[in-house]
Amino acid sequence: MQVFDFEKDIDMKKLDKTNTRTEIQAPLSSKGRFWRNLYRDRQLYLFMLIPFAYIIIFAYVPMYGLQIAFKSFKPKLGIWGSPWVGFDQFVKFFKSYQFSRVVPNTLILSFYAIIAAFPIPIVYALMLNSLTNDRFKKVTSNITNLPHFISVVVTVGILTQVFNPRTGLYGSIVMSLTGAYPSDPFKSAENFRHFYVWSGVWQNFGWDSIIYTAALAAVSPEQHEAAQIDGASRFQRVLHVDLPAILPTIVIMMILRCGKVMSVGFEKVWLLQNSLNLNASEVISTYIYKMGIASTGTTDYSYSTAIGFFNSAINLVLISLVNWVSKKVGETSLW
Amino acid sequence: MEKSIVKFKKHVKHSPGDKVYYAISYIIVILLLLVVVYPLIFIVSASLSSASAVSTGRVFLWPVEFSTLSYEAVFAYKDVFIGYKNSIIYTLAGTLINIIVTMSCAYPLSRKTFQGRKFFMKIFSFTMIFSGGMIPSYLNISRLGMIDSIWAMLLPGAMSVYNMIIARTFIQNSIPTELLEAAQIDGCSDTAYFFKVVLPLSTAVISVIGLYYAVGHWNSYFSAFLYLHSKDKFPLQIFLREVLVQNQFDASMIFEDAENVVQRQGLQELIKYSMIVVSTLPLLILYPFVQKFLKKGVMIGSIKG
Amino acid sequence: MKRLVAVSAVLALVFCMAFAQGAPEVEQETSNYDYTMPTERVTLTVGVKEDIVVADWETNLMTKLIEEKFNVNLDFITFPSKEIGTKLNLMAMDGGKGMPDIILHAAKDNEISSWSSMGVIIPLTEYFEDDTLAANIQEAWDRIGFDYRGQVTSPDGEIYTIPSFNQSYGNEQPMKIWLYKPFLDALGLEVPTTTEELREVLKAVVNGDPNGNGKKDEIGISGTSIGLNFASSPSGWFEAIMNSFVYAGGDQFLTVENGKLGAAYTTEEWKEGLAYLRSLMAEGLLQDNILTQDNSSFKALINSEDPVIFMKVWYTAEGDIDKSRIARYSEYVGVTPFYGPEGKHYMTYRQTVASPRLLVSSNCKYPALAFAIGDYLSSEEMSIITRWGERGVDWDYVTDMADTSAYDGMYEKVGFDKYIVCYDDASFWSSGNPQNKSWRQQGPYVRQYAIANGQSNVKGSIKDYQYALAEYQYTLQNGDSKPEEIIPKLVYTDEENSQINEIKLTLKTYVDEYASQVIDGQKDLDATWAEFQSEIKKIGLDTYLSVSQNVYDRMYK
Repeated sequence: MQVFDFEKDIDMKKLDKTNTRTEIQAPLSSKGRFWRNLYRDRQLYLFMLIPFAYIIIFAYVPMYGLQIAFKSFKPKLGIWGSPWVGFDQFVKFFKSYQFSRVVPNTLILSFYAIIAAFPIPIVYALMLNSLTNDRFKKVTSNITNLPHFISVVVTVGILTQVFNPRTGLYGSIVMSLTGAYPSDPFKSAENFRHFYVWSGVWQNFGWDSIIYTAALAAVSPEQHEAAQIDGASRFQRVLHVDLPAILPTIVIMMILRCGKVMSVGFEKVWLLQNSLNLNASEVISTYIYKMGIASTGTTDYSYSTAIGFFNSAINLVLISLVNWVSKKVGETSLW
Repeated sequence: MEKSIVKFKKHVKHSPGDKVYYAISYIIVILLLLVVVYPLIFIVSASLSSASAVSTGRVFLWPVEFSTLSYEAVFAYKDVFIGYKNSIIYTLAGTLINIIVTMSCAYPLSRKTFQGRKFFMKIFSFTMIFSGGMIPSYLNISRLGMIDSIWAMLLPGAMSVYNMIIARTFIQNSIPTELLEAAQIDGCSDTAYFFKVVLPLSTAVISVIGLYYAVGHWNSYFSAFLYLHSKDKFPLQIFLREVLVQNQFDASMIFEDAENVVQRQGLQELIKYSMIVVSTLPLLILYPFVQKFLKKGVMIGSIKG
Repeated sequence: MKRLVAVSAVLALVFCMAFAQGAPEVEQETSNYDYTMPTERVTLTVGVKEDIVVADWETNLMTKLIEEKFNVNLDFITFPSKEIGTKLNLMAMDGGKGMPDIILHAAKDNEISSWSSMGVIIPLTEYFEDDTLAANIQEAWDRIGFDYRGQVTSPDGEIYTIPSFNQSYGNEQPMKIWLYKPFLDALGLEVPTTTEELREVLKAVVNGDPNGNGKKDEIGISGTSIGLNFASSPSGWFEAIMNSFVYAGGDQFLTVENGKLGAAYTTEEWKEGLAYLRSLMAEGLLQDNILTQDNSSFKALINSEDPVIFMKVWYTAEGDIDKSRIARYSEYVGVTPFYGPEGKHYMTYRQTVASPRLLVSSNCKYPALAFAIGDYLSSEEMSIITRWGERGVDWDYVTDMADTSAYDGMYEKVGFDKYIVCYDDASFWSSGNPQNKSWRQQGPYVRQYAIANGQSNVKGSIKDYQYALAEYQYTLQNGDSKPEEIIPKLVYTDEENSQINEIKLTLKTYVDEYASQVIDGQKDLDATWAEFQSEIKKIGLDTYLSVSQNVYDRMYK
């Protein structure tokens, strides 16, 4: 039995041109082709109708709000009536005292999280999938899903309790090994990053692996059989059958992940922040939050929208870049 | 075919290399399991301990001074039951809508010859990155007359582009184009292909995105507080948060009976844990069902090359 | 392909234009105040925060009282308690659609400023001057001894809210210093009165094993990270100690002398205070991880099997102590602030200010009625009901009682006459059991010192640590630890706010951070002090001070 590699064995571009269904042999002008394809795909467009309407109504219409990033928003005048100020809000952000700290902190935290957290669910899914005891697999995956549901407040609470240098597990262990309490791990800015990232890994590796497990479910047993016939060991089978099968999923997940680089969430950072680790823990989201509550005059929506816009712009650049690279290197890409 | 696999497994002896591989894998997985399980046990134990035990940090593994006080406190707030009812409705109805819209979107985009494929992908992806913000979204819903209606809980989140991309990727990569070719030769329309071939073969991805959507609905707090006014429409999370937030100590009170104040303070520490259990339990029932589909999504039907 | 783009773009534009509209027009009552009262029974909607202890707003005792008095029907809309501001804001942006007639929200200055500029809440200034409508409020000014309007007037000169005003000793000096008496007794030491004496006592405590368990586990000063909200965690130790060097209790560490504003952290005294704290940390007298400790860890420590914490700074002695350790409540004694090397000994003083509680939206058809309801809530009796429950059942005026010998109160410790008697405050207010007799302090109320401090309870129900607290508070209130001049509250205009908001935030963060780094030893005080001073200038301290000076002059001169 043949082992199909669907991506490589079928030349999609060739298939493109052989339109096996329509009989119309119209002249191949670009204008003509456009309308002909429109007709050919008419049912597919029908499928698209509802989703497209949805995205326009609920996602694109509210986007007019983005203009306040370029305005000086006054509630009295509303969104349309407020005066334009061009890039002033952005310049204000770039020139602000905190800019040089919050932006790199956000990026560093995000990249660290990506590098650490991205491979682990994949490895876990591959490993778990390769085991043979079904009952064990079910129970394990059920359990490893659960941390995902723990609220961030509790996660940080457990973290601070376990690593307390005096009363926590960490403190007790060091005390019994060395006879003295350890120094406080929460004082250091670097540790903040480690705590942030690895608590995230712990919390989400199980849940994030679901997608890969699902992808692995689609790997046909024939391929494994064939590999076994060829003498591959279990490990080699994981590497050469399972992994390539989920590679497109992995690439897409990676691209999507890169589209969120600037969006470091607020809550966990806020809970782990203290006055000694601000060099690492002051990020864009906490900065915006503090600006909001500190303010005694009207909240400066223009400023926070401008910062949000800046974040999105960076995210867009990054995701386009990664998408372009993956197109060059392989066949999988977002667009 | 299945028989042959079974036969194969029985006959294949694990080579030494394989034994090492399995040993290492099991060890790693079990270690991960332990790291995960400890805090989970802690949370359940904490939720079943007394308020003072928890707030004085005496709970480490098992419940200390067993008490169901934290659960009682949560359920004493009768509105929690309204919340449960609403959340179930939103989750079921919402997930159904989600799956329909998502699959309708993912299918055309999975067809490589679909005209406008790139265009649509860009249009959709852009919305993952840029959004108008809370105020314009609220105003939009208000203009549509959906404020304080169940539709505000079901429609604005009708499709997550992220989940749609996952679905598209699946359909694209797991369903071989030979099937499409074969179907087209047989005169099968795009619509028929969807219902006869794509859907049945997509049970794995439908269950995954269904799970994601269901969990999203169940945990949703933000859209509810944004778009809903009437208490009788609030989902579970809103009520749970109230219980949590309101058991916090308020220093502006005068002349408290300190004992009671401390008792309520302790309650807040405690309720954090029982809240997790209360809101997660229903989901635990859901996941095993999903798991079934993750096994079955294997290719059926052979491909005549 | 290009076609498709063009077509969709046009469609999109069309949709956008169709749905997006300009700023909604809102009728503004700029000139004439509406004094009309309804002739028949009307319904007013009241927006409240969700409170799980209030059983049913519609049938609540206070609701009934109001409905009867004014012949009005009240319909309640409950908001999620943490997000009421956000929700109201969204409604305001939507032209006020959905905003209740009366809004019981402790609005922040920026909310009042936004909403009033949008015209969704109406000015109430004139109503305050009406002798009938504002009868109770004007009487309240006599009770508290001053006219609070200055504190709630917006920069545009109008008043948009009816506030609450709650005079209480405890709230005014919240950063109380508590020392663990048994340690002093075990070591045969007196209560320290100066910062140097404190140092010696701390040394003795940390090294002398006063809890007698053979372990060196005693902690000199404990608390939580600087910069946390004072009301919810014992982070006041920093201010309490710094107050012995320079007054550090002002908001944003601002000080005022002869009407001129300054910042505490620009002074040599601040430097001395930091040096002192650094030396305490270096000698192990300040808890090692005090700068990163959160409330949960603090609680675990203060409730430990063997007592370990000697000094803490918090609202009450029993704060954070679990009832299983009830003996400890009385073992912490309150002390007056320590005298610093220059003889300063301040305690943080937060003078009671009027705080916004009730707004009237422009949707309200009978604003005079709405105001009258707010006025009624400000009356003495309603102000007591909202906190203590039903008159005659949960509390009584002492003057209404024939025999008060079964009641005893803190009043003799605080020099007030008996004023009200409360029968069972514990079960009413803090038990968490649902009740239906009060609005639990949502909405306006005005209470003078005499009410809380002249309160008596059933004989025997008052614990000794409560007596101790009352006496301690009285000592502080009448002592000499209040700063000579204080800044009650600064309200900036929008222009001013946009100038200084970022500076204010950055300064606070930087000052907290620098203090923490010095105390922890990460930065050498002498070597970096000059740099610290030049940094704060760079951040914009001068602008901040000059703008704030303008506000101060405008409000208080």
